[in-house]
Amino acid sequence: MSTVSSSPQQPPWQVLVLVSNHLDPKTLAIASCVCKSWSISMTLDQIWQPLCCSHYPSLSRLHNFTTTMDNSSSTSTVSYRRLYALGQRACNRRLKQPSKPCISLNNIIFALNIYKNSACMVSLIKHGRQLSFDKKGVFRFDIDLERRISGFATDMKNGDLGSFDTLGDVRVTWDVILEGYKGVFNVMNCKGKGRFVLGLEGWFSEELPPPGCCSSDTVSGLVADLRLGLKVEDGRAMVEKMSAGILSIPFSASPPPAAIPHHTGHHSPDGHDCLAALLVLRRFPLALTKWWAGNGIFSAYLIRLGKDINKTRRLFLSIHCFTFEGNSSTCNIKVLEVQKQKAISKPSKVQAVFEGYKTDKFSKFGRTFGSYKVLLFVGLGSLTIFIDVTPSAATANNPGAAILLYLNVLSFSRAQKKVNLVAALVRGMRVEDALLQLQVTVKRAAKTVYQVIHSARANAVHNHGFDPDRLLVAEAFLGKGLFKKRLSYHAKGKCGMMMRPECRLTVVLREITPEEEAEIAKLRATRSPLYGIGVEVPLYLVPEIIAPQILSRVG
Amino acid sequence: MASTTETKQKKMLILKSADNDEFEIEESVGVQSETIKNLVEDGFTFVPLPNVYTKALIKIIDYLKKHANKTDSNDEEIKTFDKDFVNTTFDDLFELVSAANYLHISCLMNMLCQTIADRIKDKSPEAVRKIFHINCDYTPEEEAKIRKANAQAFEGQFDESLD
Repeated sequence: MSTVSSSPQQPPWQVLVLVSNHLDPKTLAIASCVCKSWSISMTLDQIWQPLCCSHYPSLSRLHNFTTTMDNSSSTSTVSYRRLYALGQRACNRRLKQPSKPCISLNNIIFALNIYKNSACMVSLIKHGRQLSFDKKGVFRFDIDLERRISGFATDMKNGDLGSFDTLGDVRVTWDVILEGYKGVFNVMNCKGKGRFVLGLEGWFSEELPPPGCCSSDTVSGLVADLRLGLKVEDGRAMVEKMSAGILSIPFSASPPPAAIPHHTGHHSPDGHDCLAALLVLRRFPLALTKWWAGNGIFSAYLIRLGKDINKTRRLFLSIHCFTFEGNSSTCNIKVLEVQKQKAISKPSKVQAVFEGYKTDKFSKFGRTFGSYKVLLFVGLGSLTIFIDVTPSAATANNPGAAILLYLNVLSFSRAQKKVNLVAALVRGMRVEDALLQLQVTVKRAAKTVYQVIHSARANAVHNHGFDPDRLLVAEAFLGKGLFKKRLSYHAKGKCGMMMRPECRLTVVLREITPEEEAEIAKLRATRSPLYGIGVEVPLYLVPEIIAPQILSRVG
Repeated sequence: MASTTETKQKKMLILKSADNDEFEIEESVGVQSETIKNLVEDGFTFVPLPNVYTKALIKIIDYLKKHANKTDSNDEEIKTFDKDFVNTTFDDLFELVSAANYLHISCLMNMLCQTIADRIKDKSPEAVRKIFHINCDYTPEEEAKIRKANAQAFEGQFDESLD
């Protein structure tokens, strides 16, 4: 002890132990690198135990574990400092984004299969090295099937798809395989739609999933596209050529809608021009596009929201339909347009308005333009309409319209003012927190409110692709429901009226704005349980524990 | 006990430091220290403090006097006093911590320890060694090993200033 304090400015070990209770984990770790006696003081289990227990409670159970070795069990202890370091490393690893895989084209094998009635008709393997294409242009390659068949001459019936009438059952798959079969990614697994027309190319396309998991992006902007070149031999369709490609469809809100007919007008409507048209369509804010193509006909539907839902309280719904007709040499483009306005009292009504359009108005659309009826129905057959309100698109254009909502309504028998107590509790909370809160709330209505919010969240995630972690209970209000009247029997032949109240609970969820998110993150950091709290070690405990070790080392 | 009647008057305590200097303080001031309080409860009025040197004791008595008559009105005043109190060299701080620890004055202890902790926070090991004139007794291999064990702490910037 005396040797430690001999140097003028060196802190005595008692002081060091006392001070170490006030240090944060990072400083403790650094201080333990200073010298041996510091290291002993800074790695005491008394200091680290509370830190470890509060930060990584599950790990602190590992402190005492029994290991069975050589038929004799011995209890060994791991220091809490080690456990803390372990927990922190694991935590850092979780926080880190996995690095983007970098794969050379030379290590990739493309496998293309064509199935018909679940029997494989054509199977092609193409190595990435064999392909040559323009680096600046679209990623696309063609495979001439005939030459390959003649070269190998293994499957005699390769490429035979049977008669033309049954071509609707054709299914194509496209897999990308890492060399050495280390990994496989299914780019496309797509069933042919509609019927094929002689001399034209039937083609398949599928949107690729967005990169990364759990991201709020619901669109990747990448479309895999596969075309079959067919020829006829004895009334049977033969696959002559296959061409596959991946096209990127940027999504931005800049160009004016007027550009559409002009842009696509001077081209023959083969697959890529349709994609070009699609490209323009996708640039609408809050646009819906799901498209169907084949038979040289391309149709797209577009639903556009009015600019500011909150301010105008008015919703514009415009449906554009572009039809391309004709073969590869001639082309007619018709733009059909229906515009509809509807006043809305609340942003929460948007869902309902669109629901109306989803079902009724489209069929009306078909009737109104009688001559296109069949054509449209073909289109509708494979058309799923969804409202594409990705947050990025909405906020870039107009932050006011970025309120994304989902509402759920449920009526149940309970007095309105009783349920309101519970609803008021969760108003404005994050959905996660609200659900947690409701689980521990001792009110009869808590269960119902929980169910409504839970179901609203499920709907928002499933139907609209919201990120469940970023949802907020924007509104939770109650309305009066049906008031059932019942008789209450009184004495002397009299009776009174009894009410059986019911109420309606409406829950509106929205995504949190980036500002709110930042605020929440800030609060979470400062309210962490160990923020700035030291731990007290009774000093009378200390000398016995470390004094001998320190003395033996230093003096 | 006899002491109950005596506490009603203004009782004085005599503190004796390790350098044999004697200080007279009021009992109400002295009982902020747990050690002194225990002795007073046992009826002692003469308190020898073999572990506390005069220099530290003077400062601590200053502190105790200031904090003894703590009211809402002089809250600001005490805060500035505390700020000045801890604004001293590391040598003095260590001395004060040992003394405060012996006297068992928890609020003073917390304040002093927090001050020291704040001063060595975000410093690199090299800077800490320089400040305290510590010779590194690790061999290079040992140091590399311990640094690897604490690798997660060595991310980010260090404050290399020596104060």
